[in-house]
Amino acid sequence: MSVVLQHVHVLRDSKPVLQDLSLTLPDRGIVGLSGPSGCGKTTLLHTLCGLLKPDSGTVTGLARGRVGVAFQEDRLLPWLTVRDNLALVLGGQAGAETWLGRMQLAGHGSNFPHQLSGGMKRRVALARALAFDSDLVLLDEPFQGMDDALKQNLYGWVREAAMTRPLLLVTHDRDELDALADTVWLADGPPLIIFPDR
Amino acid sequence: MKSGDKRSGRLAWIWVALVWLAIWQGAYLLVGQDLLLASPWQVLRRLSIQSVRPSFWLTVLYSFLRIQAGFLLGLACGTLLAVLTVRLPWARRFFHPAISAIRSTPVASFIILALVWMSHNRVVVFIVFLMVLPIVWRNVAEGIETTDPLLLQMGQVFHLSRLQVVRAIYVPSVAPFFVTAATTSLGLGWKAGIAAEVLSRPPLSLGGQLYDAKIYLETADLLAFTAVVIVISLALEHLLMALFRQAGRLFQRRGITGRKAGPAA
Repeated sequence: MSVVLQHVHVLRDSKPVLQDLSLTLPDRGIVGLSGPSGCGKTTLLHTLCGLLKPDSGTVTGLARGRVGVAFQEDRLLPWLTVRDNLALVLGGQAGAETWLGRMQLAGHGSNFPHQLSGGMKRRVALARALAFDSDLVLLDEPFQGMDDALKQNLYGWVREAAMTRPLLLVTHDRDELDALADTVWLADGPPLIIFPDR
Repeated sequence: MKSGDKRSGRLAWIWVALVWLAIWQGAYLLVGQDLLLASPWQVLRRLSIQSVRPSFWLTVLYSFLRIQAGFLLGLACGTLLAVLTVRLPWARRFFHPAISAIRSTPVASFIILALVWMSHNRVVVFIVFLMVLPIVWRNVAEGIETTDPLLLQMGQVFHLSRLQVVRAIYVPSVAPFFVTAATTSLGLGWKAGIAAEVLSRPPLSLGGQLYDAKIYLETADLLAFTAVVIVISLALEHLLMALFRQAGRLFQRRGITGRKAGPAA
């Protein structure tokens, strides 16, 4: 079942950020979304994951209402180890350990977020989003602070996560879009408008 | 801190204490009247005489129990009230004037009022409770309100249960505020509790002993019991800090899952 937005309006400070926005995400695969800062991309992500309720219009297709999100900020709990940050969401330490290995963070599970570099924290946030059992994955600039070689190693896990569910990847990096996205959408606004790139 | 730094820190404290004892002794010699100011030696002698009497330790124990009962009650009710007033705006509007009144009313007024209302033992518990409650309420409420909304959103998106949100997000966010409130109000509680004991004079109380020392012009006893109050209050503050540190370490070691952190089997 596809995730569908129909005639969605979202106001922020009385100004429309999403105005009569309708779009359909494919059943599975990666949709890349790129556009200037402040055009409404984050508002779209927050609407899709349920943090923002549309002032009008509907969001359908999230059967269980479960969305895995890598926010623009890492949003890791600073008082928990990296392993516990993942275990909290995954419901067990074994899964956390597996994902730390996949993100090339094996051996860092006992570290606290402040002991990690920016790129390492991004990887933990990415692991949390990909590993979460969800109907949809939303990634907001997930590869910030990572070099190209490392990104290449992680692309496979992102592709795998999108094999059974839709994944919306927001990025300014054209190379990331070219490497990962099955479909690319360009954005402008506000209010947010979305049009296909190819 | 390195052990060398610790040792030199301790030495500095001992020097400071010795200087203040010398100042005290100098003041005693200057005043020249035991009735007005006892010497450190006289106070120490009275303390050693008192400390071998079983009634002294019973007095310390009963004062401790009364004041700690009020303190713990204040901690519990202040925390509950903070949760309630943050969650429910009407509760905040309802309780705010009462808490403000408690904060600005002189403690002596409450003690005298309480003496009319209840038994001597309960007066002390009630007064300490009243002193602790607003401090804990204000601090814990501030801790809850300043919890990072981005982390709360994360918890919402990843479907954390209410218990997980409380345990993993709220408790660690509020903990520093709670520790500050507890350590601040502990000292205040002891001051107010002893004042309540002086005025209400329950049996076997440090405050009652202070009152008797004043009546019989036993300045050495007065200072000896004051020293006991100061030592207990400081010792409890240190104990409380050590407990909180231990709790923090346990939380970090056990993690949120309640299991010991370390590589999964």
